[in-house]
Amino acid sequence: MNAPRPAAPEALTRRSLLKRGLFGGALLALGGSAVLASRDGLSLPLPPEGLRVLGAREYAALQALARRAFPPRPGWPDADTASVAFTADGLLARGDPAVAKEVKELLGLFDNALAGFLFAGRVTPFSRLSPEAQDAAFEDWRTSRLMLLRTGHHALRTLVYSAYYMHPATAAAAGYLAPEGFHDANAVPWKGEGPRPAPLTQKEGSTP
Amino acid sequence: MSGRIFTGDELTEDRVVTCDVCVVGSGAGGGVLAHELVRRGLDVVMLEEGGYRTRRDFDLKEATAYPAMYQELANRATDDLAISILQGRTVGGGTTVNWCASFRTPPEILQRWRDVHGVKGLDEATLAPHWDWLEERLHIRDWPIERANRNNQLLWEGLGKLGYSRGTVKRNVKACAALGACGLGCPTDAKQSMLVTLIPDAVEQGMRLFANVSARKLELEGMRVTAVHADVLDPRTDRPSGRRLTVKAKVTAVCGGAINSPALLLRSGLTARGRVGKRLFLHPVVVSTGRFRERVEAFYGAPLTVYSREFIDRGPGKLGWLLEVPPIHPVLASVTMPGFGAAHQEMMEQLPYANALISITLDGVQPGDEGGTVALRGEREYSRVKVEYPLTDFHWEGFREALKVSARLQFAAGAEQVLSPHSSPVVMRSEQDVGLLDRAPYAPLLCRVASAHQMGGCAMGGSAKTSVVDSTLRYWDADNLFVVDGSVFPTALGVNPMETILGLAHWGSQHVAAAVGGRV
Ligand SMILES: Cc1cc2nc3c(=O)[nH]c(=O)nc-3n(C[C@H](O)[C@H](O)[C@H](O)COP(=O)(O)OP(=O)(O)OC[C@H]3O[C@@H](n4cnc5c(N)ncnc54)[C@H](O)[C@@H]3O)c2cc1C
Ligand code: SF4
Repeated sequence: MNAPRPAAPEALTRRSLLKRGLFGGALLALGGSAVLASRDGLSLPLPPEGLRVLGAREYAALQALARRAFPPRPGWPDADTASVAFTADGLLARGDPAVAKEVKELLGLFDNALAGFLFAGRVTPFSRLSPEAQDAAFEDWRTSRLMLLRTGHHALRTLVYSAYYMHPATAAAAGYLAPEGFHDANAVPWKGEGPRPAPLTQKEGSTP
Repeated sequence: MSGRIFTGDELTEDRVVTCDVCVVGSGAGGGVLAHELVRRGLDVVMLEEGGYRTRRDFDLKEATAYPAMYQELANRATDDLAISILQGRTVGGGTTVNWCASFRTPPEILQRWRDVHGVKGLDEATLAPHWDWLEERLHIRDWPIERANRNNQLLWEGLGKLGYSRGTVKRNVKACAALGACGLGCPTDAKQSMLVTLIPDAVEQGMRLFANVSARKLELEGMRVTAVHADVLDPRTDRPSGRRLTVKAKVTAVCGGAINSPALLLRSGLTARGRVGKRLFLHPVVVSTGRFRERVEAFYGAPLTVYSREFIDRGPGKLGWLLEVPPIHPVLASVTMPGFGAAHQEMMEQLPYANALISITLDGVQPGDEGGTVALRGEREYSRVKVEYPLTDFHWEGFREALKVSARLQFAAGAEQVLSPHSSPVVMRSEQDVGLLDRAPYAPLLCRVASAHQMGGCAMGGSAKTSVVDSTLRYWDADNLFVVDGSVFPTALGVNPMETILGLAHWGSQHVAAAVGGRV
């Protein structure tokens, strides 16, 4: 069975956004260029179901970020158990193709050694940094003076959070259990043929 | 004659249909308008780009609801991502996923539309019989404070303690089990949305509704719209299936909501001399999160039942706001709540103890407050629009003061901690800490802003020079084109917009009907 197709991150990056800012066009080129990236990022085994939008490296960079967002915690699935990057891939596949392309570019930039060097003076791709250095690198994007990086931070953060909290176990861990006994998966949608089904009455009286 | 609801998978070849009126969009505006036209015996075809989702699909899960029933998978935002935008995209539009709060238009807003924007013939007395009818049919009734969930009661108590005005909210529900899932689609059909009320009524009386059909372009000859060209979408992928539907109607009514209605006009080359897409209002919202010792469980219970307009009018030049509480389900909470890593996890673990207080700011009524704009991103991309909404010192001042009031209210109601919506949150442990909000950064993305109420973009007004539609909702430069939805508001409202849109559509239907050929 397919994993649920959860909501896309509420705010992904935009092409125009990548072109904005001090180094706009150059940054975009960096993100898109594997050659310039010069150093290998983390490589992770790909999900058996395969990926629909993300490349192997983008997948690994996103999962590396998810591991920082969701460190092991009792009662909660960790980033790998919740398959965050895989779920995010499903989200991107469901959304507008242009958005997916931009997120790929953004992830390229995010895990790019040369970009890291230009922004922060480090030459190690994000996905290969130590956990503490990863936190610091992501935090740098949040507070950057470049609107471009702040927006990138926001987009990636939203993507991993919405993917993680789509997982049924996380909603339950956060205290939300969908009320049972109300949803009827077999209800027949009326399309105009034949008489309209009578309104539900079983809860009548509960409304003032 | 019985009509029919068709879905994208049933449309396996190109089709051309003719009718009296083509209604584009099935939300608050489109649903009411279509119903009123069919009731007058007119032949109506309705197009809806979202899917036909019914209670069979409403499984009370965010993972199912957002991708299926919201614009851009609940991922719509302004161009700089500084304001996230929740907007419906399904049969019934926003009414299928909204939180049921029902308010008549504040009289001072209608007066402003008349005095400042030149709108004629739209006052409280004129609208009253329309609202009366709608309130009866949609079962709009007060939801008494005894039935409020803890989230709403906390607001009520905080308002009482600080001596601020407060009221309970009317809701369009019948036999509501108070599940709190309104934003995910009501699984019991208790919510009296267009999906379960006026749309089926209209279908029963002959309307044809095509779901998964996105209107791309209006074709014009001179001053008249001659055809609506639409793409059929594959319901499984939401991508164009390659099939086309062409509707040839005597009259066309664009009811795609603020943002999408101006986008459709722009795609059709209709700019109303640069006015289309201007004056977009979002009721920009800032959220204050309180943590309580008791369980609040803001995801259960009727979501929005208490309000205060104490701060709606702060005097000239100041942004005012409406206070309410939203439901807080985990996905929305996770992207809204600040922080990262373990700190964020701790907050999420405390979600059942959280109360969120929203300040819904009233935009478009202060001098110089022109709101945002809608533009196109380029022909190639089939669904995306470019929304810009510059946030200025005027807004940030209002947000900051609103957050201070929220924090005080939450402490008055017993909060042990209050967090601001900054990306690095201001953490307040008592009222004494509220001053910390003055030192926080107020800038795009450093302080989160959201919107669930989109208005404007095809403003109504007294002159073709300053507005897009006239006081009968007719596009100034075309004889048989109307806009009937929230996009015609010349300003925002300062109350939740659904009932204003319903009322406008009910009233405006006479003008649309008249344009078909004398039937009023
Ligand atoms: C989560 C949420 C909670 C809310 N809570 C409340 C509340 O409690 N009270 C309240 O008053 N308001 C609330 N609102 C707002 C309210 O629902 C909207 O203001 C209202 O529904 C807008 O009505 P409309 O007719 O302008 O557009 P919509 O209701 O948005 O309808 C427009 C429809 O047109 C379709 N469409 C757009 N373009 C095209 C096209 N080109 N071709 C075909 N179809 C198209 C869209 O898919 C959509 O279904 C809420 C909104 C949201 C999202
Ligand atoms: S609160 Fe009432 S209207 Fe909303 S989803 Fe639950 S039963 Fe339906």
